[in-house]
Amino acid sequence: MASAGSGDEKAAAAAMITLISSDNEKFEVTEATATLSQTIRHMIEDGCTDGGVPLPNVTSKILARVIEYCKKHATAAAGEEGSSSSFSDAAFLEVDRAFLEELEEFDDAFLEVDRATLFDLILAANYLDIKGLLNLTCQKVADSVKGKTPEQIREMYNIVNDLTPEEEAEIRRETQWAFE
Amino acid sequence: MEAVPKRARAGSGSAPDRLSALSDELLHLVLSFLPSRQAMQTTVLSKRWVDLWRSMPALNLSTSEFICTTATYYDQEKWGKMENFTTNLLMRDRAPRLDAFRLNTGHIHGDDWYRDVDRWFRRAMEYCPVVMEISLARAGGVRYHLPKLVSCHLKRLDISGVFLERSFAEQLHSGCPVLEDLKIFGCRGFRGFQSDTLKNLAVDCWIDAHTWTIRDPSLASVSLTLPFWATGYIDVLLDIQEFLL
Repeated sequence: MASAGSGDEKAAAAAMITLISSDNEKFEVTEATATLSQTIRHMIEDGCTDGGVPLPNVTSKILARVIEYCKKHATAAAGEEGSSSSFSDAAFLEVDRAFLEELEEFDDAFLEVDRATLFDLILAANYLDIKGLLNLTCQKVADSVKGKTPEQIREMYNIVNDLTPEEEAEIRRETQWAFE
Repeated sequence: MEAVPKRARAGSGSAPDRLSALSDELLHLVLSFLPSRQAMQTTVLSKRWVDLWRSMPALNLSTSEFICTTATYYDQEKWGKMENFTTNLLMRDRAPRLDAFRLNTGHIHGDDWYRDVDRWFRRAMEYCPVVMEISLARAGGVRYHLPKLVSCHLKRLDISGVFLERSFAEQLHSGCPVLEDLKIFGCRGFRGFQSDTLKNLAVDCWIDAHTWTIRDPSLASVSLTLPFWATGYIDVLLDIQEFLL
């Protein structure tokens, strides 16, 4: 749970962290933005962020998008003065309704990306442990297959059906209760 | 082995299958956002997907997922399918982990629904889920009486349309030691509760008692909605540390 002490938070407001993408691009962000990532939060807590935080699994293109997300949501979390809660906690707080709506619009627009980028974002959110972004992107994938038949899903995502017709028929028989 | 994959049904482009390439954990997260019936049907996508459902960490069950072919016994048929599906999903060899259990029944007709719901509810409780959302319709004037809640992991409970026993408050206190969010909507029998851990509470209920007693030292947000006629009829005793009305 994101219940880290609040003592450092005032200092954190000014502190800057440098994130370094896999292609060596440097991004300077506030600690409040960076710590939406639990991975980075732990690095900061362990005091190993001097000289920048290398993120060998994230390209500059994706990191730029992730930072955009974190900036917006860090502002949301900061709506509660001095709060250090992650967005997942903030979602439950009585935050201004209008701002929540704005945040939703931001999320919707943020997800207007091609499929390859969406998967890159999922992997980055997972690696950086940003729960809100991970849920958002995985929900987007789920929404894209909602109401689709297995055949349609295969086609959408280029899933190669490596089951033999006999194997598939057998599985359908065993799980007939799911197809009725 | 001649590893020439069948491309017959694999779409036109040669783009890689990035969905199936996700880890089990991430695919489970994707599946957790789908109605369970649809999540189940991914089992035939390819070998990668065959066993994923057994360890799906979230079950989302709703009668609206089931379609009927006959008009005459519409509701019976619908419930029959729902019952068959849910029983198979919950009772078959599943991995011993369930984080979220969501059950939503539309209007139910028939005699067996109470027994079925009770069976599923108790089974789900055995997994000690973190999230439970139960929304039931009253059938034939009968409300489901919520059995004793015991889940050492339960953090969020949303209940709608059930009857709460007199001992509900004490049960929550002793059976759900880490409960943080509680939403009670359209239930009968609510008289209040006590908790040391609850942070958010929302109640929108019929009035069955002259006094609601709410004891919670750590509550951060409260929303109480009373029927319009109840103002002045009911006393809400709030025993909480800090409270802004």
